[in-house]
Amino acid sequence: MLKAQIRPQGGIHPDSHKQLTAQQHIRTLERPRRLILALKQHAGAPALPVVKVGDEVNAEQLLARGNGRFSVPIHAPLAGTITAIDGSHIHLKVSEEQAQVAPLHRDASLLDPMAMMDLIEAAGIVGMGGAMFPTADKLRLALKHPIDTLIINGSECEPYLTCDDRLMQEQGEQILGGIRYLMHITGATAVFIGIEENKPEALGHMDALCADEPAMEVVALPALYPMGSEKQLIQALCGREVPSGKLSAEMGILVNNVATCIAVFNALRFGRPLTHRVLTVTGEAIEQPGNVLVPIGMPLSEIINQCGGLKSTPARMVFGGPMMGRAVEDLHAPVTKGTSGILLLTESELPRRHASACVRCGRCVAACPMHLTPLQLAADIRNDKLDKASECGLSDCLLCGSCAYVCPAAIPLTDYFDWGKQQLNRERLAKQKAEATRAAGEARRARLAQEAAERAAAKAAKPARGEGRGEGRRTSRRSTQEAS
Amino acid sequence: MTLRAPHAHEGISIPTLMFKVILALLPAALLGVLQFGVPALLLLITCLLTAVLCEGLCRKLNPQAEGRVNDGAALLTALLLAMSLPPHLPLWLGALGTAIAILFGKQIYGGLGQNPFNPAMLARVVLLIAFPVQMTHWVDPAAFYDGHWYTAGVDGHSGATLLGGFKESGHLSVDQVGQWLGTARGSLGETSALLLVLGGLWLIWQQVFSWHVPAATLLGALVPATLLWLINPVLLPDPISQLTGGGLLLGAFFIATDPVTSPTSNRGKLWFGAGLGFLVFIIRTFGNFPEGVAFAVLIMNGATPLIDHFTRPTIYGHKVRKEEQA
Repeated sequence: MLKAQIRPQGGIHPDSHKQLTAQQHIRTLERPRRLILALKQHAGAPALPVVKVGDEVNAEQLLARGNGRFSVPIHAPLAGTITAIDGSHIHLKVSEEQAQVAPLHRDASLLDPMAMMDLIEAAGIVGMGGAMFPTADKLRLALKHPIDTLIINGSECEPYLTCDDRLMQEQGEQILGGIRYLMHITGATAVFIGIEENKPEALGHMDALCADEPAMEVVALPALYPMGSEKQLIQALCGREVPSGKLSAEMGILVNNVATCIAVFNALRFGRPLTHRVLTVTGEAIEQPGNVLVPIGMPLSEIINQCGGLKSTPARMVFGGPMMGRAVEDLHAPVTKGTSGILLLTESELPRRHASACVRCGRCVAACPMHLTPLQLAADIRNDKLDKASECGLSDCLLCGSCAYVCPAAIPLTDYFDWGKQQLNRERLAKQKAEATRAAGEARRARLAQEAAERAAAKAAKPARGEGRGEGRRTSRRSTQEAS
Repeated sequence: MTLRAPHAHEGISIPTLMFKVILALLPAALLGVLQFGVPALLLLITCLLTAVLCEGLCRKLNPQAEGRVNDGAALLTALLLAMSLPPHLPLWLGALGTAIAILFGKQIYGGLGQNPFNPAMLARVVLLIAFPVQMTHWVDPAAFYDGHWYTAGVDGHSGATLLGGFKESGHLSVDQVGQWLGTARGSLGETSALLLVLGGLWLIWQQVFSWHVPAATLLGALVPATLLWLINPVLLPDPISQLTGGGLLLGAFFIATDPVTSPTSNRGKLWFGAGLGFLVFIIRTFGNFPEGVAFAVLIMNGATPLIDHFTRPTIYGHKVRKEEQA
């Protein structure tokens, strides 16, 4: 087992709350009555449904196909009937009888990397840590550069979440299988599996599994948020910073989450699309916190029912981790491919709601893992000085929430930066559009001018005897006059 | 109300920070009351009451001002000011000083977090320049454990402080144990070096502020003082007396660490502290006043935006990018 090369500066040590679920084995939940499958469970455009209302579908059947760049297909987790398709979701009534789908046994190591990436895409696999970027596209983009190092992210730095911890302890072999396929695809020769020190069981188990794997090394990382952020992970494992504005692939590094490795393994080895995922259900408001295997699209309400119900009315329901997750208000909100946790939080677990004045204490500066100056950025954004904020590194912000977590004035710093980044993006798009319009206008003018010139040339080329000669004489006379 | 991430918080709030600092100051302030008697107690109460009144008045006049009356900031300002005043200062001067601190040191800029200068030190300097006689009237502390408590209206013996005495006469009459325990002459709350150090260390342990500013301030003042003292011991008091006499400890731990008027990055805090300490050394050694903490704090407060500008941390990935471009 290796140690991190560098301890990244900045970052925070939030209360982990992991003890709520860390010892809970992954439990398979009972079949829900219905599923709601979001058509957008990836970075790109929403997938296009290929089924219609009333269709009977089998488990693992294709429901929607990818629609262009960074868009992947969606499959039915369970057999059932399509009851509705609206603009953003497919509703599925789950059948009482579920036919067993026989897994395909395939020796995927005989496939070539391109075919493997196509299979990964066809299985609808996206990054399962929460970013939901299609894994096949990530691999294709990375392979434009020579990749020598593969980093497997098992840091799970978000408080409360323990599903990756459990996956490493219970499905380590599948993770290793996925890693072997990824090595085959990328040609990487070194693999680092980064796990935070606060997961000794997972560290021990993965280290034992890697004993026979000369290329794979398990690395104990400091327990620090946001250790699982790609840039901080690379810094800790490789001792190098990713230059601003560059991709990690340009440094020869590809990072993938442990859950994604399992999905890759299941897709290549058994031909299984991504239809289920493991997530952590936790928080002080849930009766039985734990780690559960659920079909994608399972509504929150049914998960709560199967976790013993609520202890109290949650003050907030969050999909994902507490630091970067998304609050949901709909009790029937469905699980997506990127939902790593469901938090049912009580008022006492939440931050204060009213911000007070900034006293410039500098805690945010010390906490920022990107070494930004959050208080100054927030002030610039408040004063409409986006240019200055952008110069001071606004676009480098990870939106990790470390600054807002430590702010004694409870200023919603992450909100400011999220808004500012979106605004910068809008401005950039508007500029691009204006640029394109201008270029098109210019092209049109140039074309018109050229056409006019061509017409004039054609006219001039037409033999128009006497007149043409007379014209020439007149001009020459005028020019001699001018010269004298 | 925001529903956006993060959905968790460390739980520290500004009132918590303020009241922790007040708590850390209280032992030294109470010792001052025990030593200097009822006049000191009345001075303390006057300052605190005036601060709350002024803060409330300003919040009425300008409801948009930042901060709240009960956030502890005004009380802390008043406490710091009172502790830096001569213990038997007339009460109206205490009230005037506090009013200056709150009205012209803080609220005039828009309230909490908006002021460029430390309000307590600003007020102290105004009083020192406008009322030099009253502001340098140092009474002997009564040995409270012998039952000698001052009562209102009865004035005790007075004399010079350790540093003031050295300035006037050129030699030192020092009782080191007294300086540490707090039985020497001095401002209301700065007499016991021991209690101030303990309070400051507790605040560092409680993560109310980091070690950077106090450490840099003490080093900035004592390193040059020690060097010069080794070369020419006649010119200035020995470093230990420099540390325990006067307001250096109160300033380093409780005044220079005021977040509003000091730099935000750790590197900036080190520069700020070092500059502050060095200025204290310069003023004490070569200036007209025996003590220079308040002046030094105000000067460094003025330099804070500049320090912040030059000590902004290098953003992750930017140094590498520059190296690659070069």
